[in-house]
Amino acid sequence: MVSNIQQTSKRINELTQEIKSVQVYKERFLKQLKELDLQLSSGGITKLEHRRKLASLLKGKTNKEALNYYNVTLSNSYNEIKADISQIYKIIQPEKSTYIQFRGSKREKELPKTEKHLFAGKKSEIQGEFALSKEKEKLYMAELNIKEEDIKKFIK
Amino acid sequence: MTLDMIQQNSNSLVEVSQNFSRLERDKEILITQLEEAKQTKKRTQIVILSGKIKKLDREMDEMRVFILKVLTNLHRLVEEQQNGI
Repeated sequence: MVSNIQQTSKRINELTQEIKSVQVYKERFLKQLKELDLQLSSGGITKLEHRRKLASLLKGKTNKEALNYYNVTLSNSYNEIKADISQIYKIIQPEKSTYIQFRGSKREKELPKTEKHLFAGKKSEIQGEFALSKEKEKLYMAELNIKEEDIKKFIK
Repeated sequence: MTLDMIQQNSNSLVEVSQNFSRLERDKEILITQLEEAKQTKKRTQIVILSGKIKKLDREMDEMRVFILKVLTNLHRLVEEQQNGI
């Protein structure tokens, strides 16, 4: 059966994009709060204006509640990513070969060479085009800043 | 910065998982063909298909190792970022 790791990976990707957006909104919110306080302390706005602008920014929430909203949203997305990671991890754990018959057996060696060409070049023939070479794997590992010790922590 | 790394890892994961799923589908096709060969007792075909499946399994195992590494890194980065909220 074909697993759904492709779908789960896409979901991780979506969540990552969502996190980036929420992070931008959170930083913008914190910046606006800071600017309002700065304007008040420097006398740029009156206390009344500050209160009015703050109320507009917080939309009925307290500072803490508003900030908590962003943090909970972010945390939920991170938790979902971790759950998706675990799901993929469970799926892709190495399995035994599906079915190998006559492997290295006398029967295999005895097969007539004339028959082998019948199956060569068939549409279903699988080539190794999707497999990663050791060099490519090393390249990816370096690009992604993956360290061996991190892998040991995760894989028990 | 860490968020960019998460994004980068996540993109790689999507790319590799697409290839992995493609191999899985190829393997399914081969298994079906193998079952047919077994039913019709075509010994030569059985051997050839089994060899192909074995080769595919090796490729998938290599890919699994890489996916595991990406997942590990992604998990570490997510933890790091989540702890910093």
